[in-house]
Amino acid sequence: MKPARAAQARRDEFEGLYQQHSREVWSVAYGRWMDADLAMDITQEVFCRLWKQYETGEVLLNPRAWLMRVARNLAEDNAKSAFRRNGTQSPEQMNGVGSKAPAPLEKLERDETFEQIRVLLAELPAADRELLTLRYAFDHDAPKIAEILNLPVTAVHMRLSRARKRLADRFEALGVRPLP
Amino acid sequence: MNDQPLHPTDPDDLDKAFAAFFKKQVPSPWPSARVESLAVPSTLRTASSGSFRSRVTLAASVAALLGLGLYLSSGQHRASQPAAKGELPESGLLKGAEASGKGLTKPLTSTLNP
Repeated sequence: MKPARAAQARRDEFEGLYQQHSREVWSVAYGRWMDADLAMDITQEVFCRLWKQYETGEVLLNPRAWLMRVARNLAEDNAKSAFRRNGTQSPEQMNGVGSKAPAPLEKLERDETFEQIRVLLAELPAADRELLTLRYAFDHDAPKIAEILNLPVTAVHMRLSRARKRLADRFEALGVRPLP
Repeated sequence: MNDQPLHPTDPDDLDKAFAAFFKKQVPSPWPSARVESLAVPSTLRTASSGSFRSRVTLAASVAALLGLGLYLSSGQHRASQPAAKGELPESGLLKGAEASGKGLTKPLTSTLNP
């Protein structure tokens, strides 16, 4: 194969991996920090490293496993970074700080529900949050999640059910409607 | 606020709540890969690329510089040079003299002791 054609093939392969796995990588990072922007930065960094692997000519036998491992490592490394130490808040957490305009009632109720979910999620293990992100953000079913996270399907069902139960208990305790 | 009774154990409501929350977090539209517009990996670059040409030019320049340096330091260029204009003729006072002054004393001695 000519070098230019080989390069194009690699580029296409890389794009394919990005389309196929970037959401899974984002879910891992989001599950760890619950910060959408930070999760996207980590996702981009993971794929940047994948591209560098390509540059060295190294062949990855299981790109998904490699991506998930690097995503988890980078998400953990972020805990040690200056960004975290300085206590920068994500845009979601700063919502409403500078706004004096009255929000519509429906939005308030929704925000309240979301805040309860956020509090609940913060109490869950990161592994459960990854699973919930894959289930609810990307509509993956239990077998697919089990495949992505390399877990038994029964474990996925159990964790989903446990997370639902916790959320139900919290809503019941606080008297918050699930959604307006 | 609506005072209707809560149905927190209703799986549909919980699923809706989770789905609404998580979908709000997902970046939309999903961004493309930011990898330097997917440059060609270095291992796949061809010999005709600009990078290769610049390396050859650099190597040639360094070789030329080294060659010139060696040539100048060896002194061969002086030996092979023809006498330049304005140089002292062979019949002058300093004929056969060296930088050490060795040849310079010869004519003086012969003048003093004929």
